[in-house]
Amino acid sequence: MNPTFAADPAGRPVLDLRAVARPPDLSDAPAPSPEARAVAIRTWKGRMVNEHASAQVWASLLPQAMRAAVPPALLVGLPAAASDELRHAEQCAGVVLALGGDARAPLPTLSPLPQHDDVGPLEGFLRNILSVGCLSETVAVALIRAEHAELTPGPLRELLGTILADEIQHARLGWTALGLIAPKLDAAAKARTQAYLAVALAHQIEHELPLLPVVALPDDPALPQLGVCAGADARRLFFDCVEGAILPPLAGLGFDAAGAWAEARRRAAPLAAR
Amino acid sequence: MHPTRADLHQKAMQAAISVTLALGVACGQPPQPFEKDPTVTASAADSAEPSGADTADGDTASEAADDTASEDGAEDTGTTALGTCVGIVDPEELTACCAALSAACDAAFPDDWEAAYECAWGAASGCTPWGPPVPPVA
Ligand SMILES: [Fe+2]
Ligand SMILES: [Fe+2]
Repeated sequence: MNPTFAADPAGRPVLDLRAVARPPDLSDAPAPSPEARAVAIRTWKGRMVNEHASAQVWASLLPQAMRAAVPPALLVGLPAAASDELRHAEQCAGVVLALGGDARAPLPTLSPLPQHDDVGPLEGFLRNILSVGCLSETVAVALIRAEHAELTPGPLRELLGTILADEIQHARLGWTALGLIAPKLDAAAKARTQAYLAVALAHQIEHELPLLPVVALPDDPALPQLGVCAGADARRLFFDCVEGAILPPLAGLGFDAAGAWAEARRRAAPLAAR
Repeated sequence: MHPTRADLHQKAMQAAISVTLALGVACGQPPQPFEKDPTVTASAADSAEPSGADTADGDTASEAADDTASEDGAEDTGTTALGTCVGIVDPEELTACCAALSAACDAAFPDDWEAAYECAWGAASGCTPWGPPVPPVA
């Protein structure tokens, strides 16, 4: 059987990156306790799956963008981002292997990318790129930048640095698309996008925030050096990133960003307590 | 020298703000300075405590294990489920439950990744390994 086309005993597809992952040399990293090592493996394996899922999302955006006649200069960024995310999954798998873990995981079932058929293709694409590029990827940039800054120079820092550089491009792609499309919206489309912004921000709280660990991590100084940061810091950074980095440029475009955020926090309560 | 939390926070905020400058370029406007100073928010939230932290002591998994110890939760792997997070609706509680369950499953099946994954992420667990960033419907 070809090990790269794997399924688990229940028949679910399994992402198996053992053959393609190249483990970084972590011999200079501090040795974690067994408990901390297990946490680090789980974290990097979760990232591996998440990056793979991100590739699917970026790839799904391409046909929608093409239907909307998005300019080619912007279009090419979508498959490039998908390709980046696939590489990130392999890089994360490499860290899993380097930590002594197994770079296999069952793939979660992704909901299909919303087509937003209630509006035209460009407005529908705008909603998705707003959620993926301007929100998710910008938050990712903040979180990964903090993790990167905490690492001492070495192979893991280098690896995270290459991932960070790509995520910065993905976020920039999102903001570039927003800057090109938002001025084309008429008043009705702008009002609908304003309403969607609250939905998308609430979705961030509901689906990104719970991923940031609330459980106490083992008290092991090796963990930050293995790219695992404290959940409390990450959660605080999430809120500050939304309020300090994401809302102001949205307001600059004429959206009631503060109103959308307040509405999102109301919807996503009690999670929205910081 | 190890960076302080405020350093890390400030670097992260600067990176996030920098990517949004692509917006001004796309609109043909010079990037505008933002009023909010990220260093202010860094210190303002220092006392924040995650509200779900009190579920983090590992009790969730062990209690769940007690509840289901007599059940055969395995599918085809011949393993026994250590617990389940099915039915938990509060997302923070669910996250804490799944993290504890995952740790218990890793410990229970150190040499059998399929069993460990079925235990932690199988349909009976109520958990998924990670949250996919698919945009929401309107
Ligand atoms: Fe990525
Ligand atoms: Fe990305």
